[in-house]
Amino acid sequence: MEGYCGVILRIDLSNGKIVTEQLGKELISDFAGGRGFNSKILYDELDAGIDPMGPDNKIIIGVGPCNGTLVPGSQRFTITAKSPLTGLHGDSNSGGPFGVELKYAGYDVVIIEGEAHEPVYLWIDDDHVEVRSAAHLWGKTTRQTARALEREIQDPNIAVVAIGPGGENLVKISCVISDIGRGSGRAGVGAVFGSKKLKAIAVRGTNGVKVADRSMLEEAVRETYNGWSNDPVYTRNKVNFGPAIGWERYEKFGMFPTRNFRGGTCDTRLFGGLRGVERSYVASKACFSCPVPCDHMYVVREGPYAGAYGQGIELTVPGDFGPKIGNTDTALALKAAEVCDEYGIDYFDMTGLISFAMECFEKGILSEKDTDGLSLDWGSNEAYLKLIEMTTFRQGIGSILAEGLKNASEMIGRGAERFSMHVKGMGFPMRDVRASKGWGLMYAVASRGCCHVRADLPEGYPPQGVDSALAEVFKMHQEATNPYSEDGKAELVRWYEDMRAFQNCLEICYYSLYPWMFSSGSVLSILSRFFNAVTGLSIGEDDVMRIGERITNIERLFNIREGLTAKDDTLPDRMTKEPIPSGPAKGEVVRLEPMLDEYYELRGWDRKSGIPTTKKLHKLGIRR
Amino acid sequence: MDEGQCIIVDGAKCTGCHICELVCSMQKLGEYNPKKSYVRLLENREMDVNIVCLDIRCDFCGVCAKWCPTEALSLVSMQEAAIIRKDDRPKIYPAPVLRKT
Repeated sequence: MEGYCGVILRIDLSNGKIVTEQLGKELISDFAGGRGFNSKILYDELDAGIDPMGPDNKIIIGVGPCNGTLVPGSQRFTITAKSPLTGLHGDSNSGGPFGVELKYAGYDVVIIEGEAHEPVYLWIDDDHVEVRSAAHLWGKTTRQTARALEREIQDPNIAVVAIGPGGENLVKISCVISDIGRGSGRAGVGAVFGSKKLKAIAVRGTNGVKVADRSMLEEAVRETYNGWSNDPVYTRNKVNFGPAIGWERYEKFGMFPTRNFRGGTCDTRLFGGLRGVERSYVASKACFSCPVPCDHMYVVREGPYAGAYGQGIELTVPGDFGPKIGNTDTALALKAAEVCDEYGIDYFDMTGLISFAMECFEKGILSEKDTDGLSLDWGSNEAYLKLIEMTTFRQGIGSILAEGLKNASEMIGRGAERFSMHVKGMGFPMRDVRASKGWGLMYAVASRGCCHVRADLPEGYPPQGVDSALAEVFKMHQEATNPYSEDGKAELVRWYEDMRAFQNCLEICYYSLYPWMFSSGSVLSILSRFFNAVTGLSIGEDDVMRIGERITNIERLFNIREGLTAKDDTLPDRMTKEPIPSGPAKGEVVRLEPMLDEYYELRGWDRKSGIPTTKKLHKLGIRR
Repeated sequence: MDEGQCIIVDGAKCTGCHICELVCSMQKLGEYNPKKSYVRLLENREMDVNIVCLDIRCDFCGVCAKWCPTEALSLVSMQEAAIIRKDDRPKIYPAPVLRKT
């Protein structure tokens, strides 16, 4: 079998012990790779109720069989741990060179346990692995850390993941940054690194990856390249704008999260939005092994933030740093993104906390005596940047915000909970789901809390060539692609969740297979062919979905063990009880309960307790 | 190998995807291993700079040019390469050749 290194690297920071273990056959056959490996290991190795900021938590980093090969976009990696933000299963996926370099170094999974006594970093150089002092790195930003390590190791081509002051200060919304602007943003994984005094991981790998069937692989890869160049929106959308093109969907359907989710529209005369960020782009750039250059280096050319630069901003910068926080200054949005990258702070939760705090200030729940005199006015650049600073360094009100949206709203009280837009403690990313019911269901049920990537679904246009399973859904549910309708959404969310869980095992970027995402026959076929060509195994499309379903359920079981019940699969009242006041989606709320009823039935989970039935687990071969 | 050949790089089209390195290493060594490829990207990752270079062992088989998704690479004769140089388009250059590393 090819594609796998066959090695798990285990490091105990408490005593410095470093061992390698063989990757088990069951992990390969049942959980495929990447996120799948991580979720199974987390479930097997953690006891219930451990402190996510304590030595019993584990950081698990996984890559898949296709990493480092010609498979398009197969350069991602997943970091998994018990989340300090939610107390549940936490994972966060990232791009950048780290995943590929780890694979070339010879590892499928890295497990980091215990807690160092002083700041350390890991140096993984093929089979030579060291825990080294990071005393000279503590306090540095993520970019400063990466540059310092390149010079220390005298190699500009090492790959680095690092926390900034955010993770060091155990900010529960802190993240791990990869390269200069890619990130494992969610679930507070940065704080887990910080709690172990793990500042960074640097890796260099000089091995290669062999594949079982080169010509089968090249044929499947060539098919994806052709699929992109045959797609009429290829150049305009992905190359010119990158993922920020999603702005157009938000405009059409009124999905903007304007001013803490109080209206789905945004006046684009005031704020450049898509055009605004486009003007900052330097050139299109591609990730490793991807034919689609959808990323862009950006730089702010003039004004008070001139020189702010970075990469990897997608829709978050025009959206979450724009209308969500009431900002109309594109340059500020880019500067704030750069600061969050340098500090290692999650974009979504930070902007969520800013908009939450500003609404509280507007409503008189917070005042200047709570904020050390800082006026939290919508549109105040000073307030935006100061709040990021205060949260990162736990100063003043920042020490409350650093605990995350759920905890902060409870600590503030006085009715603040009503303005706190989170699910299970993790903040809303991206859109107002009253204008996107399918996403509303996804936000409510995702294993790691409020998540925008566990699934996706076609909205507003008929799906292209689908296979029989999805074709049935669209036949039975005429409104399945209507974002304002709850019809058919349970089926779609379930299907895409499982498909994407498998895609996460192969650590393939969603965007690299975008044209196939809503044409399911092709995507299952492509995924299974990539997997088979690399490994020499022969899985079918049913196996793809079964493995995906198994992963969704193992994450669910972890959460049940931590005390999750069906009541936690919910949305804030603003989404279910307050109609959107304006825009194309005016009057909409999310009718969540009927979607949940259908979803649980499809999943084979008990509606009251939220627990997967024994019958379902038996079918998936999972023992509790 | 024909000694009178050259890989021409259009720097404006190169996106830094490393696919040239992947297909070259597979063609020459039977595995995906960019560091051992005979075509290499010199990078400045923070500033999004990608400069294509060749290892002295490159025999101009052209697999890199065939697979480049943006057609940034092309395999041409030395005569064609010389004309391209005369046309003085600084972003289009014959790939420099480095000693074995």
